[in-house]
Amino acid sequence: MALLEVHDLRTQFRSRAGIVQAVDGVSFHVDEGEMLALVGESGCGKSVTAQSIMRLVPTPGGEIVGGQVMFKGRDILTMPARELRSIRGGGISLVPQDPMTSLNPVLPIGRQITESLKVHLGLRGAAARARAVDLLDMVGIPAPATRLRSYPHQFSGGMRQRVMIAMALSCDPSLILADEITTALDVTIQAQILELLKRLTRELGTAVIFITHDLGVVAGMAERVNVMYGGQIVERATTVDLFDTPRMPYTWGLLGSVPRLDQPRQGKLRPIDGYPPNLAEPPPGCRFAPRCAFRRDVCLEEPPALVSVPAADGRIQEARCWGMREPGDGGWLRGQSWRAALREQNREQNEVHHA
Amino acid sequence: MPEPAVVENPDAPDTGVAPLVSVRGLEVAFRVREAGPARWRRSLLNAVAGVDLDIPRGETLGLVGESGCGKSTTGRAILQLQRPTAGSVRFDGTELTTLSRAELRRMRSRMQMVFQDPYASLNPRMTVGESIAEPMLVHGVGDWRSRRRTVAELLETVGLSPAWEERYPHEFSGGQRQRIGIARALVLEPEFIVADEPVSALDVSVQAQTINLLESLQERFGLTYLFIAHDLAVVRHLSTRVAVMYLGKIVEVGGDAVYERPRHPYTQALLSAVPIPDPHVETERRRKVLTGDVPSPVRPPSGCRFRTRCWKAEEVCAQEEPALRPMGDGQWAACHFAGPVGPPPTPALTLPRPAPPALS
Repeated sequence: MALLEVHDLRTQFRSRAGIVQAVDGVSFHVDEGEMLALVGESGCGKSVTAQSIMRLVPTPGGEIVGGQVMFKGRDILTMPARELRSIRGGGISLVPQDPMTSLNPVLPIGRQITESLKVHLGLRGAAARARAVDLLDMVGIPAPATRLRSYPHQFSGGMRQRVMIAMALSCDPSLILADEITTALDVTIQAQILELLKRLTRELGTAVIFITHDLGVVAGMAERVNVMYGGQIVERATTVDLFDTPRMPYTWGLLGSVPRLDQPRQGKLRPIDGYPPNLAEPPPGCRFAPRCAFRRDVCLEEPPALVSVPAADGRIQEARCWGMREPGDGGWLRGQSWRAALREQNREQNEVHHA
Repeated sequence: MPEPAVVENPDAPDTGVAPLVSVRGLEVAFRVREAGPARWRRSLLNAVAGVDLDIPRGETLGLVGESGCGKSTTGRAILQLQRPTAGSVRFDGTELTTLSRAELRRMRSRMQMVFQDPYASLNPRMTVGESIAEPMLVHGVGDWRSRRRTVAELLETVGLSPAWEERYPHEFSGGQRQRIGIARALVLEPEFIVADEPVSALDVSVQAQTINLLESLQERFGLTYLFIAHDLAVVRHLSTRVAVMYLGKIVEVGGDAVYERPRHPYTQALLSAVPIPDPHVETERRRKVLTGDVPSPVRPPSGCRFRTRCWKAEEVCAQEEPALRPMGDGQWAACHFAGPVGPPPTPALTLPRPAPPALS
């Protein structure tokens, strides 16, 4: 049985522009000990998905309006507050992007770590302090016993993120939600933190939902990837399949947008035209259709469902794209190589420009 | 205009052409107060500690490094937005550091800056048309009619609708605001643009649009760029040459050789830390993960500033500061152990990769 199963999750926000469907029918599962990536650009709904899983959607304004979040067979969205508190403390923990805003600036970090040990595990005094020292030692903070008395501002950004990981691991959770945890860090520090998260969760058997906008980071971390766009999952595959044979034109666009350090310099990048959709008034058909170079009329009119596409070694990947249906069923993108498709698109655009 | 003086440049290869921008011994120090054990102490923070750079006309020099290394301060000091403590900045033969305010203002129209956060650098109470036209008012360029025409043309140039000139910055997305920032930088027809992390705050798809825009503007107007960024892949894509900064000093500079055969251990570590969007590469890579954090620039380590995190450091590194030395092929590195003779440096990236499986 999957550790976590999200089924048809819907979360919306009221705003002056109307009701924003931030998460619109998201379903996925996480297995025990697995690292699953949720990748997408700002506003795609990846962080709201994480907040919804822990029932931490900001209120008033935000509301989970539908779906199920089954954690170890129990639905988080309908469970009583007491049970929810025990899950937030021990079952699932969240590592946020910016540790400075989630740590209390006027309390030494030792107090902040032992607090949750006291509430959730009933550890007090010397026992709690000993456990806190162990945790800081585990995440590689030098002289952990003395550092318990330090305040958040006395740590560097990377060290603060280590403290957050220590706190997240403090009550032995079975799932960690890591929301853009390295976005604010420099690359050499990012490399340290990613190694640490990968090593610790592997040793402890903790499952991770790794949320990021950075495809490079995904490639080195996750086993499976969900790509989100406009509040929906638009592609799902193992990491290898996603990068070898991406199926959704949005994923093609993401991969064509980043220059690669390990390959010869290329000419122009191939960005995606336009801007992400306004989720208060989402496009009637495919959310990506207005920016898609490969769209046909059906894409603008009717929303596509996730379709299964065979991948390497008998695996299946899924894409929310009309063009990826069976060729007999009218799928015009099935079997296209994405690199060739983007090259072709570029050539056409150049011809238009020169005409 | 005085004749452009010949720039003495003992280090750089003699190309016969004076670079558009030439920086020698640039230093910027800030007075800071830090909390000591007993009370506040006054100290000097050398954000830029002796930087030499040449940027030939029409080229892009990438300046990379991690936060706090002094790359933004270097950019600001070149434009005299931050007056340097020492050193020389020559722009097209004119020494900028000794110019009076009035003389500097006249020079300013020839060099402009694009900032990281276009929302913070645009006045929220001015329409974008007013914002873009403002530099022309300041410099007394054109009349009302011609200024409006220029604004409309520029909006079109950067890929926005001229009809949007009446709108305010908050009505635009991040990528559109960065286009407005670029239009504003272009309005006085500058020759040189310092772009300080212009795409770091943007989403990948929008980032690529902005990079392409910067490239096509360079081709069209013959611009010279100093491109400051922390993303090495973006810097390589845009730049002719790259300079790597660490704690206020340039540790390595050169062309593609810097990526292919990095000589300085810091450059090697930096390249090795960049994630590659390809799981085949990522699983086979062996990372050189640096330990520890960047030391405080208020009290930098003696000798080589990188030695506290360097796996090659020996005693000489603590005693002698390594100078930038030529490594051949236009590549320079400041490391005692980065000689052109000796063992070849470790490649930072594992290039060979299995062929991707055939597409279904």
